[in-house]
Order: sequence, then C-alpha cells, then structure tokens
Amino acid sequence: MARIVAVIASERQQVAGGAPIFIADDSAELQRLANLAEKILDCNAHQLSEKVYILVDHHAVD
Amino acid sequence: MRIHTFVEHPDLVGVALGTAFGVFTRVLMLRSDYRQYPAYPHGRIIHLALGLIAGALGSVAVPALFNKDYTAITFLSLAAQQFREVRNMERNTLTAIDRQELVPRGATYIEGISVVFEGRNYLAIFTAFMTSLVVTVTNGYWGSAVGLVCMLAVLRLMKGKTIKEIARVERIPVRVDGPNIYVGGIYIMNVGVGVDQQVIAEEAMGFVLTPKNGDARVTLANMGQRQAILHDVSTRLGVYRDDGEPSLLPMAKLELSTGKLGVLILPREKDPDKAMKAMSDVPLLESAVRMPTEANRTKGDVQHG
Repeated sequence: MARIVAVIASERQQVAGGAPIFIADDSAELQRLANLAEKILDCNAHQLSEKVYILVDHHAVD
Repeated sequence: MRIHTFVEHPDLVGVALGTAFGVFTRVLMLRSDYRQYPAYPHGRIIHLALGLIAGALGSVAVPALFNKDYTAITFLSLAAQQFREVRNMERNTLTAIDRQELVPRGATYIEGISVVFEGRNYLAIFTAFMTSLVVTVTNGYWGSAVGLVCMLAVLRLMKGKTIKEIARVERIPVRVDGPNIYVGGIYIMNVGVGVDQQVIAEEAMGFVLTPKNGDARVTLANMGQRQAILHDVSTRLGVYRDDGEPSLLPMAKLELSTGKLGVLILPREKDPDKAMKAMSDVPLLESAVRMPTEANRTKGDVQHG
C-alpha cells in the first residue's frame, strides 16, 4: 500500500494529521516546495486541490 | 589415414554431424535482438558452450542406443537437470539486473526469457539427435538434409506471437488536464509538479490497445504483460526518465468497462512509425496468455495437470 510521506498546503485550515505538514505562503512557493520535496524524498507529489499537495511513497510495503 | 579413422569409428560421422547441427541450431537461436540480451560476450560464450554440450549429448545418444547401451540414455536426464540450471541462472541474472533498470522487465517477462533459454537447449538436443539418427541409419548426406530441415522447423516454431495479433494498436495524443494525465479518455495518473506536467505534455506519447476478443482482454489486463510492453517500448525508443524523478514514469492503465489498455510512454525517439512498430512487436508472454474461452469449453470437472 502506498504511504503519505508529507503534506504541503497553502491553506492551514484544510490539513491536519500524522504526516509532516509544510505550509507555503502562496501558490508559487507551494509548487517550489512540492517539486523540491519530490526530488528529495523520491516520492510522487500529487495535487489534491489548488492548495493541497501530498507526497506519496508508492514503493512502500506494509 | 583419415579414412582409416572413420572405418575404425563408424559412429564418428553421425556424432560429428549431429553435434555440428546441434550447435549451429543454438547459434541461430542466439540472436542478439532488440531485447538486447544476451549482448555481452561472456553471456554468449556460456550459451555456446552449453549448446555444444546439448548437441554432443543428443548425437551421442544414437550410437549408444544402437550398441544396446541403454543405460547411456540416463545421461539425457543429466542434461535435463543441467538445462534446468540454465533457467535458474538466467532468472537470477535478469532479476539482479532488473533492479537497476529505469523501466524494469518485471518477473513475468524474466520468467518467460528463462524458459526460452532452457527450451532452446532441448531443441538443440533434438536437432542433434535426429541428424545423428539419420546418419547412422542412412548416410551423411541424408543426415545433413534432415539436420537442415530440423533447423528450419525449429526457427519457425520458436517465433512467438506479438501484441498486434491480439489487439488493435492506435496512437492517441496525451491530454494533460491540470494534474491529471489521460490517454484517450483513460485516466493514467496524477502529477502534481508543474514542471513534470509540462515535460509529459511535450515528451509523452500515448497508445490505446483495443483487445480483439475476450481472451485478448484478459491477456492485456495481465500486469506482467503490461510491464513487458513498457520495458520493450522503452528499450527500443529510449526513455525520458531518471532516478529520483518519480513522476516521469511510463505507465499502462486499463479502461475497466471496455478492457482497452491506455499506455503512456516517454520516448527519446519520437518517430511515430518506429513507435508504432515497437508497440506492435512487443512479444506476448507465455505466462500472461489466458484463454478463458478454451477453459470454459471443457465439459465436466476441470482437470489440472
């Protein structure tokens, strides 16, 4: 099963929970953070909405 | 002197011709094709040496039988054991290499290749045996003729089926709709990063494979077959991908309602004709081929084995 490694959002109200959460100030920074985190973690950045991205490790095994 | 040798060893012609045809059959089947395997000089030597052993075993069996030396046949079982080992060797090597591939072959494809390597040795034995048998019964000329016929038959028999025989292949442009990637209405994946979306919009190529019948639908749905498609096409066209770029991933997804397969590839070579040919010529994997229509036709209880 895939695992959520991190959440990146520009809207603090929309996110909570167990994974590390990074808050961006605007959409440009949101994109920059998502791109960086994808390369660093080798995990896919998926866009749930304009303001929320999740980083998912598809190689994770339970 | 030479004639003297042949008179003293009447089996020699049969064994020599049989071995020669056996080895030659193996050489013919050992083509380095687009699958790029075995392209390494040492890999080839291993298979040539084993081909020589296979040929020798097959041809020696005939004089042994004629001399009523029946126990010598048990050597053939030793050979079978040996060639099963070949399958293991191929599987282990390919599995080890697969971890370093940008687009892996997948376990099903590897299993298919290993089985082929084992099977080819048995075909070499068969050719050698037939040649040696005919030489022993008649003479060298008839033996050579039978050897040639066997070789042609083997080459014909070993041609596997390809994708274009079970599915219609169409090129369809890739649609990037925000983070969502589609190929001909089939949802492929969600790519969040804008840069990667742009790369996919510019570089990706889409295909839709429409199965021609019910059996084909099940075969296309097989994950191993899908991975083989991605690997083969990426090998022939190159791949726009690197380690640490998880979003740039060639992928194949089914349209569940129709059984169509949407394939997204990231080729280096973007020639549409070459791409079409690469996709159409992907081999069908033996272990992926399913024939539910045939299985359902069996009356009464299903018998396995």
